[in-house]
Parts: sequence; structure tokens; C-alpha cells
Amino acid sequence: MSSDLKSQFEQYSLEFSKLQNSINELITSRSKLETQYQENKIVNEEFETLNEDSKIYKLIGSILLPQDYQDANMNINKRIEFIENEINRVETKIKNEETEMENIRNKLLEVRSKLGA
Amino acid sequence: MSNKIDLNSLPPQQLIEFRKNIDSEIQHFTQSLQALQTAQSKLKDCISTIDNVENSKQENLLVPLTSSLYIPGKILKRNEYLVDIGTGYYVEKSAKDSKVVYDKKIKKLDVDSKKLKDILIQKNELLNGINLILRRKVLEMEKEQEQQSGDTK
Repeated sequence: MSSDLKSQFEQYSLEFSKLQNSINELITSRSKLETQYQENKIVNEEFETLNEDSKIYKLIGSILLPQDYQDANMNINKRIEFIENEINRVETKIKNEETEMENIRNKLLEVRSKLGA
Repeated sequence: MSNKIDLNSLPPQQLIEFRKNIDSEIQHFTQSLQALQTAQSKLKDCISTIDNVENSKQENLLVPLTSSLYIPGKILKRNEYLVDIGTGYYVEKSAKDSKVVYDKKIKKLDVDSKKLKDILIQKNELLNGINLILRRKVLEMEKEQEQQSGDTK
């Protein structure tokens, strides 16, 4: 009986640390997304001060290619939208995993108290 | 916030753990602050370079091809710069407008640095507080041990 509980305990703690790792990874990607988001927002603000006559270039590899204001602006807006979606996706994932972790934590505590008894 | 917990009530091991966490946080924030300051000085370099070019009557300059290879060049048009506005986009701007872009960025970084500095001050205060409590606890423990060894004698 107690060996049963013990294996259960080990299984839960394994799952727990797995979840912890994946949450840490998610948090890293979340902060990376935030950096990108801020950078794109700054660029977007800059675009608002420009107009059709501004000469815009985009760095592709090591070459500066001339770009249309409309195109560039649309591109940035699309990118911001994409990053916002990514942030939402990662955040819901983090939330889900956190509740799951809480569940496993409770199970762990339960098994531990049984083991102690 | 975790600050609501009375630090005096925590056992020394937990306090040490807590102190470690704060230590690494402080390290992280100090690094970020340094990164901000480097970025700021780079932006200031850009502004002073624009001023230099605009103020000098010289047309000749050396164009860097790599960090150690240059070719002689000539300024054909003044008051026209390509400014990196981020994420790979460059925009042609006059000297005045270019400086506006850099000034804005520097101001933004100033605000962020200020916030970081405030956080650092707070964390350092917390760290000092923990160190004080730890020291007192160690003294108390030593006293207790002395008393015990005195009793058994």
C-alpha cells in the first residue's frame, strides 16, 4: 500500500517539476514577446509622424530596400497584431498550466499527508 | 505582497533563501540599468555626430566599410540622414528631425532608468533589513547556545 503511495508521490512530483519547467519557458517567451511588442510600438509611433512623402527603407540582410509608406505601415500594424495575439496565446497557456500546477500541488500534499499517517 | 509577512517570524534558512532571491533580482536590475545607460550614450553619440557634420565645412570624410577598413568619401548632401527607427526600418530625415527621434528615445530611456533606480533602492532597503534581522537572529542563537553550555557545566 505504502509503495503504491510512494510511486504515486514520485509521479506527481515528476509532473510538478515538468510543469514548472514549461511555465518558466513560457514566461521567457512572454518577456521576449513584450520586448518585440515595445519595439514595434515605438516604430509605429514614428510612422505616425511620417507621411506618403517620407523616404522609408527596410534593412533586408545587408541591403537597404526602399519601401512604400503604405506597405511599411501596414506591415508594422500586422506585426503588432500578430504579437498581441501571440501574447494572449502565451498568457492563457501560462494561466492553464498554473491552475494545473495548483491541482498537482494539492494532490501532492494529499499523498504526502497519507504517507505520513 | 510578500512584504506583508513579518520578516522577524521567518526561520533563518528561509531568510537566507529570500536574501538570495533578492540578490539575484538586484543583479538583474543592475544589468538592465547598465544596458539602458549604454543605449543612451550610443544615442547621444548619434546626436553629437549629426551636430559635428552639420557644423563642419569639410566635405571629405572616411567611410567605414568594415571596422578596420575605410575609403575616402565626400559629403554631397547635408541635412539628409537615414535614421534607424527600429525593427529594420530606416527613414530619411533632416538633421533637425533626426535629432528629434534620438531625443525622444533618450527621454524614454530616462524615464525607464528612473523607474529601475527606484526599484533598486527599494530592493536594497529590503536587503539591508533582512541582513539586520539575520544578524540579530545569529546573535540570539549564539547567546542561547552559550547559556545551554553554561547550564550543563
